[in-house]
Amino acid sequence: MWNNDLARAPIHHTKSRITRFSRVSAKRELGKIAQMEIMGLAIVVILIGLGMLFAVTFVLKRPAGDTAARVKESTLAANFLNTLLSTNTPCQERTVKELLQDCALTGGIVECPGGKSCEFAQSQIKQILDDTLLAWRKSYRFSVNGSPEVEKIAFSGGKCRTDREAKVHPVPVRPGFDITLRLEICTG
Amino acid sequence: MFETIGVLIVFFFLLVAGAAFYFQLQKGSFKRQLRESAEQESLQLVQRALYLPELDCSFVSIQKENCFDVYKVGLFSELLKQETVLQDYFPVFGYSEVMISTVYPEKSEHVLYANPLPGRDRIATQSPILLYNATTKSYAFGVIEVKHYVE
Repeated sequence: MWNNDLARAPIHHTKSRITRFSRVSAKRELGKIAQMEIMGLAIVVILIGLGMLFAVTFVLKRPAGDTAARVKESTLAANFLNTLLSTNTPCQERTVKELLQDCALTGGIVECPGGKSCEFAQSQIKQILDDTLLAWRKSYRFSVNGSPEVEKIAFSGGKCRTDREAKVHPVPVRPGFDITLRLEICTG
Repeated sequence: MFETIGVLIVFFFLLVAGAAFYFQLQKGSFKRQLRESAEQESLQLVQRALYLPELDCSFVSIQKENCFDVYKVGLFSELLKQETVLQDYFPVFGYSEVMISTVYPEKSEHVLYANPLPGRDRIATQSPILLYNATTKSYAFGVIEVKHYVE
């Protein structure tokens, strides 16, 4: 139909019609390209959204494992300090707690095999730490605070690249005078 | 036409690569979760063992925490060598090995319960304990180690 009109129409009319047709066609093409670009942008937005969703999911999920490890190491540190203090030593059958109390209060009066209470407690604690935490390949830091004599008792084993879980155990020496044992164990 | 096909190929390639990466991460995550769950179970076994009335140090009905009586440990480990008694304790310890060792002042070891599951991964959990000797009335530094077999 349009071809018949074109055949019958004068030349200048035909030219203007062709120009109009090409304009309409170009507009349609541009519209299609614009739609494609919008689609592309929508896909990019969806992909970025999904990426963000995965990132947020992984970031939020991570602490669950850390909490379990922290609880485990925290329990281990607490049990270790409790057990250590109640353990009897070959020094007159005194407990580690009694040796530390003597060391803090008098600087070491009790005679033990291989030295006074301070040196003996130090060597025995080191031996127990080596046979347990170090043997289990756990990095640790052990220290005693409260008086200059007991502050010499401090050890560390292994290299800690992760967070540490610490437990503090106070030991009363006399009213108003306490010493504190601190054990830090790596959670990794 | 070719441009559209090219774009679609790149898009689906990215989609497949992303999905593969995601499933790999999920696989790792599932493995980690299984491991964590097995570790928690192992910790529960240690806690169960710590509160066994068959082994506790009780003084006038007062139970001392984290403490085992060495004589009770010795006799109980002998008792658990019998197959029928071992089966009785299967609901408590399952497929695991429970060992109690003295670390200080002397070294010794008792296998309390042994019901291994060959060819499976195992998770070891240790906890310090006091070992009470009623004859000398003294406490030794000990360790309870539970090796839990992952089913």
